[in-house]
Amino acid sequence: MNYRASISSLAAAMTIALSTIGCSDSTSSTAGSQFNDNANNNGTPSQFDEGKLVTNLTNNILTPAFEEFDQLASQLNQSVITYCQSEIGFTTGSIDANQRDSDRTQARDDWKAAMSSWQKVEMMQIGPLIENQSSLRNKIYSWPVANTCAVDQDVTFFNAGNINGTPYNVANRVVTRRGLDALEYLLFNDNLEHSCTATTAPAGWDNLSERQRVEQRCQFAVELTDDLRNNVDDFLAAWSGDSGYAQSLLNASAQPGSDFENIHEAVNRISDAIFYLDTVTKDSKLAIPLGLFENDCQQNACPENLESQFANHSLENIRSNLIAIRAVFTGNSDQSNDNTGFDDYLIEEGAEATATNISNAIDNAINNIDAYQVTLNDALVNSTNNVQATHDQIKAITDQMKTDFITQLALQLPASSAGDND
Amino acid sequence: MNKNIKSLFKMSALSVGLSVAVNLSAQESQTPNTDDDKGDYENRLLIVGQNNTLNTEAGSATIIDEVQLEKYEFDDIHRILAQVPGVNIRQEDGYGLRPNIGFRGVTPERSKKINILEDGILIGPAPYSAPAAYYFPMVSRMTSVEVYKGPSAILYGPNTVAGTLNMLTRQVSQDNEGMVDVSYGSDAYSKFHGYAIHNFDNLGVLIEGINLQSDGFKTLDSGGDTGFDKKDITTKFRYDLKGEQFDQVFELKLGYADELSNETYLGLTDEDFALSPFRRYAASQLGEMDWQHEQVQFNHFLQGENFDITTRAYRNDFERAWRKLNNFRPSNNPATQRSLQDILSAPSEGINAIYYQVLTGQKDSEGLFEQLLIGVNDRTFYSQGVQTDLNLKFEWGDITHNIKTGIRYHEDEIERFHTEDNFNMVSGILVATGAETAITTANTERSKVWSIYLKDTLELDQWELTFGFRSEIIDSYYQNNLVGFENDWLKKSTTIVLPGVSAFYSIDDMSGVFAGLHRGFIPTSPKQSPEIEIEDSTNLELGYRYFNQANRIELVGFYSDFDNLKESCTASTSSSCFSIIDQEFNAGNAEVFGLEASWADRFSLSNDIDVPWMLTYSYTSAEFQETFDSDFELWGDVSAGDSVPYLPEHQLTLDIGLEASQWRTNLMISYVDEMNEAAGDNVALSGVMTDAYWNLDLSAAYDFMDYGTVYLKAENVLDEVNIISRRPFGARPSKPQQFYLGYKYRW
Repeated sequence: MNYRASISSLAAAMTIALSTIGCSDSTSSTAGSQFNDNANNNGTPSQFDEGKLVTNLTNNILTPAFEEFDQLASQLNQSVITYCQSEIGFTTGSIDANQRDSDRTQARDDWKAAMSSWQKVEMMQIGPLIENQSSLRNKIYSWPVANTCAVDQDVTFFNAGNINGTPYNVANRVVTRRGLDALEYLLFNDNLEHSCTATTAPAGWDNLSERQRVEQRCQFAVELTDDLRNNVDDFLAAWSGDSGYAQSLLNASAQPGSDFENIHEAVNRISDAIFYLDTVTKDSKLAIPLGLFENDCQQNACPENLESQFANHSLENIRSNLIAIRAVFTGNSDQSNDNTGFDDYLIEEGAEATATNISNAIDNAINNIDAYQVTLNDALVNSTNNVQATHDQIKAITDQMKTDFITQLALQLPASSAGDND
Repeated sequence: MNKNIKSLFKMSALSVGLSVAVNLSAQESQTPNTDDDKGDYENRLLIVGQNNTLNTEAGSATIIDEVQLEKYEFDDIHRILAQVPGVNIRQEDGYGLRPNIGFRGVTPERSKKINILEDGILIGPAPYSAPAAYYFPMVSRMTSVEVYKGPSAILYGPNTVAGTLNMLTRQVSQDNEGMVDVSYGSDAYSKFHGYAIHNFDNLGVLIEGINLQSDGFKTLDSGGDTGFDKKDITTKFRYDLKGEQFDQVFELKLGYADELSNETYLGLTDEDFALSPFRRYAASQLGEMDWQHEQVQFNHFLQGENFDITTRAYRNDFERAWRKLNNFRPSNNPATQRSLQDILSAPSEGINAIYYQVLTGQKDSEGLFEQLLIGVNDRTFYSQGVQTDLNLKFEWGDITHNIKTGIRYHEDEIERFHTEDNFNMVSGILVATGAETAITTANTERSKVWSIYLKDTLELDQWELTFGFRSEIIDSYYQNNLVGFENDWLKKSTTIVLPGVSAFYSIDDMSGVFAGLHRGFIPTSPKQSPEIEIEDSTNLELGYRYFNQANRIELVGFYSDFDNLKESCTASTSSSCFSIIDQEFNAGNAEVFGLEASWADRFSLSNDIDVPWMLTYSYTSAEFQETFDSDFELWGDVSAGDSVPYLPEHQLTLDIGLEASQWRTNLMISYVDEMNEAAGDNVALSGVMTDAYWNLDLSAAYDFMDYGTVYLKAENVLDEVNIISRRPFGARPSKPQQFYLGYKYRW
């Protein structure tokens, strides 16, 4: 064998093959200005004390908001019990109409107070409220998944004490039959007919007298406020204490006992929560009723798609959402002198203009709502432009949140806001 | 003909013209074709080739030839590939209409990580721009199926991580011949298949057609078909030109295929599966896939004494529109938003119970949140290119060099136009709400690619040493076509070099050992931002091969070290992918290793009866090496050490038969281990496994000599029904027991 030729031949082949390994791969790209508008930010080191932000928001904004709702839910429970006793007393003649009406008004006012408080919590959904596919949140309030017929059916089931022989237990019932949305229907709906079709109508309802219907509804309302209190207790138990989610947030600055990889992740979870303003407040509560998205009225103005339409509380709900986002954004509260908020974070990152713009936009939106002289239902029918203006004011906030806010603070946009519905 | 095709065929014509000129000058007479000539050309359309000696390629190679394919008359590529070690499959519809095939641990989703070739040409709709293989050739018309894994993968890009599946269509033989094959079976299954070949001197013409249809084995709550109707027609014109110095073959192939199938992505809850596994919910009643595929291919083959050149120009057009349930109308509220997978995974939990009742038609849609979104994902693809491959054998010194080199220019494109309509469920029937049709996605992705490869195999006594590389130069372009998004575009250029080395040592004429090392690569699609990395791996394998007539043994151990494992979110993966369709994800480091073993032989039971048998076994272990949280539904929150989804650890197939001169019967027993449906935590299918299952298929045929052959087939003889996967959304059944009776006549 001619080894020299063999070796040179081998070397030549190896050179061809292996020299290519040395070649480096390359990738280059150019992109349009709209490409990856919603690209995730992976975070950059910051000098801002994110721990201070999380501590202030947890101790002075979130926890007080949750405790306030707890207190108002208890108050609602008591006033509904009182109101129901009045209805029964009215039937037997031991209570007069004025007293019954007064107790009903008190129950309704307490529902409104509780709902206003809950609408702040809606903007703070985090930890126990979103675990298990938001199970606790939906038990307390499941809108837009709501169904009045389902409530009518459960009034009857509860009164019967069983469902096809199985003892009735509200804790096992689907969320459309419980919570603040079901309570609203029971407390504010004066129409005593059921809202079902012929095939889904509650058994025997049509044979009941008016007084029986009123009493059955109020008794079920009492059951629902008891259930509400239980669920709020569960929530606060998961939030508070040494092993609660609040402590985990507070420990996120690298102390043990935290669920977070780092403090920035904790900040991001709070940031995720306030994007409720985008997909729910702006889109579900305003854009759909306005007909900007498909609705039940062929994309015309549609009061049927408003939130809290029985209590005519839609506008107050939106206002509460805005109050809550202002609290989280500015960090201001009457609980503490510490007012570290997202605005401070933006300023620290050199985005003072963004901080000012968002803060002003929130104030403008609240002022816009405060200027309403009629309910949102009436405004939607008679002065759609005003409602459109409210929508636009809120969009001015969310537009900046989805761009400058996210970018400057190196936060990730929640998936629900990643698609642009605008 | 558009500009692209013109330029394509201009290049092709140039290449062919040059070689024709060379050949004609040397031509003195035309002589009749010989079988050998046909064989050389056909071998260039194959990967491994029709070897009757020990194969010395350093890679796992499996060939299922026409005789083997006819044993079971399978129409489903999944069932055919049960005979191949190292193949992992996620079944979906039971018929194999849209296969999910992976090799050596790569995830099988829509077969997008393997190269799928027909006659040596990329056959996926848009292999670079949208690799999900929504078009798959009808395997009933194939005469050979090859699977090749290992370092020679660098010859067949772009996906070099796992391997290549090549299917050979019927070739224009020298003889005038033909066949009619008629079959009828369970669920109104029918097959009409025929071909005819006629030769006019040196011009051979083939026409082949096939129609497959079935009413389907599932039952819709609302009534109606759940089956399919597929047609395929292929024509070939082949001209052989023999010269003194060069022989040439010119071949034109034209093909058309279509499918109309009542397929859906919606499966069942586990509870409903246990009660009635073949049920389909009312919400799936509008599911329909409608596609057409057109193919033009021109091949030129030039053969000299110690070299040959094969040039192929090809154009494939594919249009598909799949109407199916996408999701419930978004409630805009993360607290109440559910994917179909969420609902079917826990149908009685919280508000899922409401959605479930609507899906099954037990409840009418009342609120906006109960409206169902039926989408039509309309996509138009083309794939075209010119490819020239040179095989050259020469001696330098005492060493014989076998050079394989080639160059390919390829273009492909996908244009998406996806729409959605809102429907209410009313008394079990889907009724349109009348709302305006929404355009959900409109974009274009296009790739223009130059590929080159060079491989030299050096023969040194008992050694064969191979060195080679492949380079891909990819220019890609993405454009959002929605009004107002004109500036949502991306241009990318990627250049990559993929080296590979291998060695084969012949112990004797019948056996040898081999080893190989190569770099694996899977490109990113044009719309992925540059932060999404390519899939990159280092692949090592060691093997032993024995060949002695019918007795063939192959044992291969493999190890793949992924620098970055990537995966993309398609609707077939999960309904939560609709808002980010085709978004790709990085997983970082992962390791895959395994063992592929096959042993085939035959022995005589008597003077008249032979017993052929084949045993294949695969062991695969694939684990992530990094801890990360992902939004991708197949992964979730992954910890290092978690297994990659849809990879059975053990797979076993035994194929055994009795063969006499006029009859044969075959039994295939296969076992597939359980597979995890998701890798990590906090996704809908975390901790959920598919069923491990055994399957038995039985076939028999009797040859009436001049009067044709009657065959009988039973699939899933034991009638075992298992959950083969819970994707796209919900549990899906394996194919139930099916019987077929067929008659085949050849002339």
